[in-house]
Amino acid sequence: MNRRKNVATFVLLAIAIPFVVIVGALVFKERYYAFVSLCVAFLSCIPLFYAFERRESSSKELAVLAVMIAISVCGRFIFSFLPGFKPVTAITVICAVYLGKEAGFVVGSLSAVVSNFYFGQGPWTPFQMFAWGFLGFIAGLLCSPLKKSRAALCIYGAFAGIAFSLLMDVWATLWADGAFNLQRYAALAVSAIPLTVEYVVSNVIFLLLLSNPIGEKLERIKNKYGLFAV
Amino acid sequence: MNGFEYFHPTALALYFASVLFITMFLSNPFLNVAALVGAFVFYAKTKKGICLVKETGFSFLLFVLIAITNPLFSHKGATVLFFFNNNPITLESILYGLNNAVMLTAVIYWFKCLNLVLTSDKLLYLLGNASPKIALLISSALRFIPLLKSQGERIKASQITMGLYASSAWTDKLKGTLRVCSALITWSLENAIDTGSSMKARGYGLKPRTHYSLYRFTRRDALMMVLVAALDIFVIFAFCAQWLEFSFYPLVSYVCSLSALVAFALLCLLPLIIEIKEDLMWKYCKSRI
Repeated sequence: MNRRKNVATFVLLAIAIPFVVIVGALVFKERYYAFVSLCVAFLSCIPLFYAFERRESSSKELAVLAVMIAISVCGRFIFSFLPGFKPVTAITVICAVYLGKEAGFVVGSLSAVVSNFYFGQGPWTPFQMFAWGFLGFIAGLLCSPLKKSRAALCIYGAFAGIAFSLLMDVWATLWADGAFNLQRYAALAVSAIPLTVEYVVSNVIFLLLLSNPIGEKLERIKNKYGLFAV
Repeated sequence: MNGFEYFHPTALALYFASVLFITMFLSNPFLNVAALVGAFVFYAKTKKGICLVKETGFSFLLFVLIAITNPLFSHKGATVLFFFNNNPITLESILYGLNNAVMLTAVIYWFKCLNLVLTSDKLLYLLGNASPKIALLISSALRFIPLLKSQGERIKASQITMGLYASSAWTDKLKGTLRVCSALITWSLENAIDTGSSMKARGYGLKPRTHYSLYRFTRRDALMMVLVAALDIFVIFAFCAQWLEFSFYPLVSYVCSLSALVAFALLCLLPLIIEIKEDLMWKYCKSRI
């Protein structure tokens, strides 16, 4: 089972992504970068979703994940008057640390989808799915240091804020230009510095405020009902 | 009424996927203009009034922003109009920026139409076939959002009756909010466990279960899908056969096959045509009573 999953993941990444890049280069001359970036963002999510789909998970685990997604979307609502100030990354990281990397990925990427039902879907949805999903996945890989030290958690929060901002700037450059124009990217990244700072600050604040209370609750639910046993 | 939104979700998904794909990736200015007009007209027909005016104003600002920034970053092109900070501003790069702005605005408007027509229930129906678990997660998260909201209000009310109301100091307010959030999260996790047990008791995950589906695939949907696919194939064929060449640099030069343009314009105006046809049909039926 596990082996087959790995093989499927590998095949998809090893064949589909180069295929997309080559076809994109041959067919779409000017919008090549936009096409390739969209497809890569989307395709790289598929193996993890596939793994999640194939995994045996109880209805209780699914319900807990759905609640965590709903909580992060509600957080995005509450703070929607401050555009960059959202707890989505923090909640994704907490889920990843306490419930595992797959849970982190699913909560992060589906928070993007669900919240965009309210804020509007667009070509940015796959990029947000990719960014939040993989920030959760990486947090899940680093779960033991992140669980132990609050300093590491803060550093990861800051890293996640910067990474999210830079990824979204890549998106904006590709879509405004059609090609990757380094000058425009630099200009965008510089003009987005206040937003980046906001991401970093909000991630650190939310992680510090929420990681212990939510972590305790998740830990308790996990032990009480025997969920997310690896 | 059998307007555009009453088509089968599969047909609607094919329609939006093909329009968005052609607009985003074929990068031909004539096609982009057709896409923008089609999206805007359909959106304006569905959503009337002050809301539309506001949104149009906002997207116009975005349009101008994208259009004017390109010449500042790109100095390609042969026709130099003037110099700005010792950098040449060329006619070609202005046109290129304009084209990008048209493309992006068209994509944004098509996504607005998509949000209106292909609502979350239809998307979940489509996703449910490919990935039932993720569709289940999304739909239960969508259900939990209003539930969390109402439960949050109840917790807040009960905290106030217990005398734990916040004073005007913002630290106190923050503490109060955190207390409500903490109670809310505990409650919602326990509630999730209940939901999970109840799902299990009702046989979630057992083999011989079937889905209930609200949507029926009729001849109308099949006709629409065939028409959309035919138009798609024609436009993409025209693109591959280089009937739709357009290059901005160094000088603007293009080939444009009128038939491909007409085919794409027809594709873009399809929702509007269907809506108008249904309106007329309705009027006609009413007049016969």
